Formats: sequence, structure tokens, C-alpha cells
Amino acid sequence: MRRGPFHILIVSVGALFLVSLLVTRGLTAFDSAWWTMLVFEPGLAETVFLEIRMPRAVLGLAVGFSLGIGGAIMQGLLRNPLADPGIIGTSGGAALGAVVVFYFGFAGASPLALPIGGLAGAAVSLVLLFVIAGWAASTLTLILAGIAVAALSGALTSLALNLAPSPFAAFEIVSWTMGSLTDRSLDHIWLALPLMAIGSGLLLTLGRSLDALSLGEDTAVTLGVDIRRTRFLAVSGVALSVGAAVSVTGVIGFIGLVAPHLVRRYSGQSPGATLLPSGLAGATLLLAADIVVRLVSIGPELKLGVITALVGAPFLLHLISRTRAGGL
Amino acid sequence: MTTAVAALAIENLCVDLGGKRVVANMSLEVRPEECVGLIGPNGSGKSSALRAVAGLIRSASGRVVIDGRPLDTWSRMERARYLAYLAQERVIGWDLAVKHVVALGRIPFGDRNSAEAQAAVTEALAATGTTDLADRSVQSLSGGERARVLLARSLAGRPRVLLADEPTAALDPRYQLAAMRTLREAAARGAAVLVVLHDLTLAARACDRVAIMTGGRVVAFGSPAEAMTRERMSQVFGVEIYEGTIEANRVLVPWRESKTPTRSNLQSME
Repeated sequence: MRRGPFHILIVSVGALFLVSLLVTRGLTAFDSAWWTMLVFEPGLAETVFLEIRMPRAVLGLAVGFSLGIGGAIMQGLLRNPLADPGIIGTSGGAALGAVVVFYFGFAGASPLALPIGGLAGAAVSLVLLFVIAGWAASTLTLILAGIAVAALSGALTSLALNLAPSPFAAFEIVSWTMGSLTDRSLDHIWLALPLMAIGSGLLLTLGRSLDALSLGEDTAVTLGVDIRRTRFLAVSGVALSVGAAVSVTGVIGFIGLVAPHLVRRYSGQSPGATLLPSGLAGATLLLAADIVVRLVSIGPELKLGVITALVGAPFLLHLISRTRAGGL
Repeated sequence: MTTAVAALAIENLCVDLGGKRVVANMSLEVRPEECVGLIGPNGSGKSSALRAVAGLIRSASGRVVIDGRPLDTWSRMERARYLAYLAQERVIGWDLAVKHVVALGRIPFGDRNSAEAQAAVTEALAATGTTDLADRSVQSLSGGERARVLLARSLAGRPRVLLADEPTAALDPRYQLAAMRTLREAAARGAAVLVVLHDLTLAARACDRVAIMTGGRVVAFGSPAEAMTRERMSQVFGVEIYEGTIEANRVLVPWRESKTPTRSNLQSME
């Protein structure tokens, strides 16, 4: 990526991270209450900072990064600018896992019950994906299997809603699936951050293979790319990082789809050079959305997934109109 | 003709696709500095043979030997550095700059930013007449320009064995000639070139030897004069052919479909 835009991205992520640390719902850093607390009750201020604000900002950054890089990987692997990390079905699986936890009433047992359920759901959907498609599946088969897995999780999620023991349970489920970073703790970080880091780390090694794949699978193979290994690492890396992300935040759409497009032109369109900037762009978008969610404090809390969809859907329309014009 | 060790030897190669034998007992060899043409009707197994040699599809039996070593003893990367494959499909997935597409040919060497890589890319651009296009985006190219850029990509690794599947398809006459000249120059620099062609005159002029394939078998392998006789070409392609000489080169012009023999009864000719 060109230096200037890359520096702008780094600075944006850093700045938004700091702002995210300072902003609370309806009570910003510039509010006197926060400073009063800092001066007269530094211990409490430290606790609030470490256990409430910091986890939220760190998760915002990590989840956004995972979604952004996951989108760039799937678009590169499929050579399709409209691909999204949810296409392999693990986001749906993670959501279903959490929904099952709600449904059977385990959500109250521990604050980590939901994310653990989500991770279990993501793991099951990944195994199912490889069982359906096989290890040696073509990319097309793998994606069709992913769509099938996503459809199945969607159907089971609807079933859970349909049979929900009470309207409150149904509301909880719907509300959770809209995605949020509110009230996440350090425990969420310990659970999800290592998985997101490993997943994203795996994905960052795939740049050269994705570059070769822009000439088609046959040519990539003759350029020395192990296509099965690449597919396996791409799918597993996305499952790990995005599965973990969805497990702690719920479903947050459009960031994986949109982030790569924001940076692609500055990366010379090269799918490999787009990976890291896409992660950073994803982190920027998610941190920004999470700040907006907190600043708009009228009525019930706005959900993160709602904001990203409100911004993402028009962007998708714009993308499609550009594709139709042949400018993509 | 030289007696150098073959850079590429295909020995009794058989390839099955979807339960059907598409290449049967194919044997030929390509020496360094030699351009060998693979000629035959559609569906005669040329592309499948090339794909098997490139390691893209598994052979049912027989073997491919590159520089004295069987193909399956080469590591993926070793093979990628030694051998380049120019696919028939001209896929370029993203709107990359031409020079970046050509530089993808350096991926096996892991040196895309090195001086040697830059030199190889510059050389490949020059060899294919695409130097002027270097900074253009591929979306803005014509089909012919795209084909030349992909040819340049296959040359950027300075391959010792170059497999080209119909590199002249969709090129205008001038660039067909230019593409064949480029392949000849690659051979002159020491590469063994195996190229699938449909233009009989171009094959007769540009290739040192030609292998004639039909029904998955090589039915003749030798100099164009020996292998591409008018009778054999008529039989293999099922057309009537005019033959002439221009500047001491043979010209073969397919003129009309022949009534007999049909292409189907050619499978048994050996």
C-alpha cells in the first residue's frame, strides 16, 4: 500500500481507539463526572477504565480487524469483490451457538456462556463445512457448502425464535444478534483475542497465494501455490477470527464486505497488499461505529450491527452500480 | 539437430478425465532451445497433455521427466521456478497494473522487489512489446493486449520449460507473428518450448518439431516437413488442404470440410 494512505489508516485507528477509551454512553470524557472520579476516586476510575472501557476499545479494534481482513481474504480467494467473511457459514454458526445458550437459559449462568456457545457453534459449523465439502473441495464447492451451513444455522436460529420460551427470551436473542460491544469484560478479551490474533496471523501469511490466484487457480498452481493448503488456511483463519469476533459481539454485517473496497485502490488492487490495510480499515469502521452508538443516546441503545448495516447497505448499492458501469 | 538431453520428456503418458482416456500413451521430448508444436483438432487431448505436464491434473500412467528428473520428485516451488505455464483462459481477477501482473511471474522466486526481478520484468515486457502498457490497468486493455501481458507474465520467471496453450488465439495477424517470434526468442535463450497451435502455417514455420495429436494419441512427431504432410493434416482435421510455398516456407491452408474420411475413424491410425 502507498505510504500516505497507510499512515492515515494507522493514525485513524490509533485516534479512534483513544476516543473509544474516553467515550461512554451519554457521559463523555469531557464530562465533569469522569474527571471528578479520576481526582477523588482514582481506584474506581482505574477499575472503570480497565474493566469497562479498555475491553470495549480493544475488542472493537480486534473485531473490526478480523472482519476487515476476513472480507479481504474471501474476496481474494473467490476473486469476487462482493464476497463477505460470512460466506463460509461460521458467523451464522457462531450466532446459532449463542442463540442455543439463550434458548436453554444458560446465558445467566456466566457472562462467558454466550461467547463460549458462539465459539462452539463456529467450530461445529467449520467441521460441518469440511465434512460436506471434503478436504479437497474446489473453491466453488466449499462456498456452496458454506452457504448451506449458513442457511442451516439461519433456519435453526429462526426455529429457536419461533419456539422461544418467552417473549423476553426472543427479544434477548434478537437483540444479541444485532451486535454490540456494550458490557464486555476482560474475560471476553482473554477468550476471544488470542483466537482472533491467531486467525488473523494465519490470514496475513496468504498474501502471495492470493496475488497468484488473481491469475486463476491453474496459473496459481504453476506459480507454486498449494491451492488446497491456501483454501484450508483461508477458511480456518476466517473461521477462527470471525467466529471469535461474532461470539463476543454478535453479528456485525458489512464491515467485511466494505473494508477491502476502501483500501483496494491504494494497494494497487493487489489482493495480497490489501490484507493488512483491510484489517485496519475494518478496525477504523468498527471503532467509529461503536463511538457513534455511544454518542447517540436518545431512546434505547442503538446496536452496532444496525449502524454498520445502515451505512453498509447504501455502500453495497454504490458498489453494484459501479460494477454495472464496469468501473470496478 | 542437436543431441542435447531433453529438458522435457513425456513418456507413455496417459490421462483420464471423467472416466474417459483423453491422452493415451503419449511420448515426446523437447530439447533446450527447441520449440515443439502440439497440433490437433479440438478435443484431441493437447490441453490435457499440457495440463498434466504442468502438474495440474494427475496422469493415469506414464511419466513426465523434466531435466532428467521425474516430475513428482520436484518440489512445488522448484517446479514453479523451472517451468512456466500459459493457460488458455486469460484470467486476471483484479484491476492490477500491467507491470504488477507481469511481476506475478516472479512469485516462485520470492523476489518481486529485487533488481533481478525488475530486470526480468522489464525484459519480459520488452519481449512481448508491452513496455508501453506497463502502467496501464488491465481493465483498460484489449483482448490482444491482455494476451500479450499474460505471455510476458509467463516469461518473467525466465523459465527453462515453457508450456503455452494457444498463445496466438484471439490475436490479430501481426501479434500472432509477434507472439511466435517471442516464443522463438525464448527458445533461443535456452528454453524448451511446448506450444499448442491451431494455425498450421504458423506451426510449420515457427516450430522445430511438431507432434500431431488426434483422439488422445500422438500420431506423428518430427520436423514439420515430415509430420505435417498434407495427407495427414487432411485426415486428422477432416478438411481439404491447399499447400504452397512462400519464401521457401510451407503454407498450409485449410479450404473446405472433407466428406471422407470423417474425423471419428482416425482414432485408430497410428
